[in-house]
Amino acid sequence: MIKLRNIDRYIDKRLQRNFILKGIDLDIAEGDFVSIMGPSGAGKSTLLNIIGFLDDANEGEYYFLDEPVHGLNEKQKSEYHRSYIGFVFQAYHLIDELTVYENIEMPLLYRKVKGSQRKSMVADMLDRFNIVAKKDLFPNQLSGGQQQLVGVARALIGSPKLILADEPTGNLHSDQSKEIMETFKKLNKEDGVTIIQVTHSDEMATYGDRIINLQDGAVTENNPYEEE
Amino acid sequence: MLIKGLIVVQFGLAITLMIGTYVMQGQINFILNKDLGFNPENVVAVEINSELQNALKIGQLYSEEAQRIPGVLSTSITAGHYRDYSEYGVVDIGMAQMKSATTLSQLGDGIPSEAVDAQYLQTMDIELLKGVNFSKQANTFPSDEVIVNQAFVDAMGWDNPIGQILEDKPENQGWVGPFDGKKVIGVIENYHFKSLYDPLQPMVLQHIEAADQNPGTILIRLSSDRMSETISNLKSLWNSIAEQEAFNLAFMDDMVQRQYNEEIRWNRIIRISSMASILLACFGLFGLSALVAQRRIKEIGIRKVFGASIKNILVLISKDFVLLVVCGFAISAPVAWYLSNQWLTGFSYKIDLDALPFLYGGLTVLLIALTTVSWQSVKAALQNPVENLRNE
Repeated sequence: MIKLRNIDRYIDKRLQRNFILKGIDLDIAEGDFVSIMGPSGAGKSTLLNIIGFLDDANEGEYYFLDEPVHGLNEKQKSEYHRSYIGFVFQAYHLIDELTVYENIEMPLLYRKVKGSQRKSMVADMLDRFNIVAKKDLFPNQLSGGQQQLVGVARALIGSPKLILADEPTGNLHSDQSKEIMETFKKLNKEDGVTIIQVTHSDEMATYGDRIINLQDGAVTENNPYEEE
Repeated sequence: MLIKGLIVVQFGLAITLMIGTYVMQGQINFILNKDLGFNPENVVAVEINSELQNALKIGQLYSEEAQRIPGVLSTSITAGHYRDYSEYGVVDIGMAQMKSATTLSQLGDGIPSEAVDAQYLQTMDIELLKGVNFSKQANTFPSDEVIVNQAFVDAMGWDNPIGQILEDKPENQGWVGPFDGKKVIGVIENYHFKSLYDPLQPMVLQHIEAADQNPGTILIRLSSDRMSETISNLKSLWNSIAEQEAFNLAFMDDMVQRQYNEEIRWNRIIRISSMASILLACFGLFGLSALVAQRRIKEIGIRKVFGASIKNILVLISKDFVLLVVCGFAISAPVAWYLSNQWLTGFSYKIDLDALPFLYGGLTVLLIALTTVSWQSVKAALQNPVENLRNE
């Protein structure tokens, strides 16, 4: 599904080039549940953003579903991004002024889904995450765990093939974290959604099938658990 | 909320002034382009001092000689004064009020009248509707002939105006009005010898020699080619005929336009104030939109991550501001309508107040407001969402 070849991402300062990512080669198959780990500043988020079309690599090749992303124009990219990818953030990033219902509905507005269809899709999602009762509340009226559930529901509403989660449990208690991770696992196993998460926590990383370690912008260990 | 209210009021004011500008512009264009019944373009008025001895002789000599100058199409001597007193709000375009009575009293106390010669109609480009003009041959005219305008005929209710004899003799008062016993020989098209504030009035043309009046003005119609050369020739001619007298020349179309100096000036003032008020309102809007874009920067980032295009973001940000302008319009439209109507009632000839100035006024301000807002919203929409969502 995802094929990265020799990806470089750098920032040019006056006299030197600061590499954030250097020579990344990575293959992720459809249906994988991958955890990216590594110390702060290793380039985990940048890698996730490049995979998610939010950032561009300076060098290298990126194939998404066998399509060369480095050859797509902006419009095609945003089309891919919109149709195949859902994002979950550490800080939830819900829109404070919108209710739970409206937050979940929001991505559908940019996909030109009809009103009646939107309604039933959002209702399904509320049902699935047991938050029907909360649909008219605003994000600040929810606990962190509940907010992140809404965040996951929003990421899933467009039925993406790939979920990108940037430290989804970073702000949560362990109970809440487990709930989110169980949800991801279920999505991965039952619905075949490919999931890539960035995490600091070994415990959370183990929910995935595969761990990728990043250090100073390079992959140091690929699938350490499988090798053991 | 307070800021929004203030911006609504500012835009209301800006839109009111903008609509006012369009209405005034429309009315001024209307009056400046209205068919006046005569053609003031390329006509100059040369002043002649009627106190002068032999004023008529001098006028006639000048008039005759002037016709030989290339570029002069026609000349006419009239008793009227064509003078610009626009600093006092008055511009005279010929005509004197003659006191009249009895039969003519149905036309009002005073009847505008002008003593002219036979070239007057040609020089002013006034159409003769019925009958004949004064005879062109000198000293062959009977002194009791007059030409009236169509409004005169309408006021008298005549079916056959030609040959009618005017009665202008107050009963038992022992005096005779100036038009008594005069015979109507021609009817001319109505023409606006006064500003369009005033309605058309019945009027009478007499022959200047028959009326025994001294000339006040020599009207000269020029060809539009090489006008300055023609004018300098007219000046030398004047100096050779009446060397003691100053040569005073005025363009008739300028004088007609100066009747509306006040309006033109007000239009300029209103236009400048409307621009100033738009500018002021836009400063407020610019600040508010910067604030809003900043406050919603995270939301914009989130929406972009979930598929919003730049266009979607622009609509999102601009929507609220459009609403403010629409509110401003809702407040200002009735006010502008009332004020415009009040102003227009001063004119006897005026444009119909339709929706167009309102549409233009609203759209102009909306467009300017959107441009102002888009400055901030485009900036916000173009930012990489990753940047805005990172530091949380």
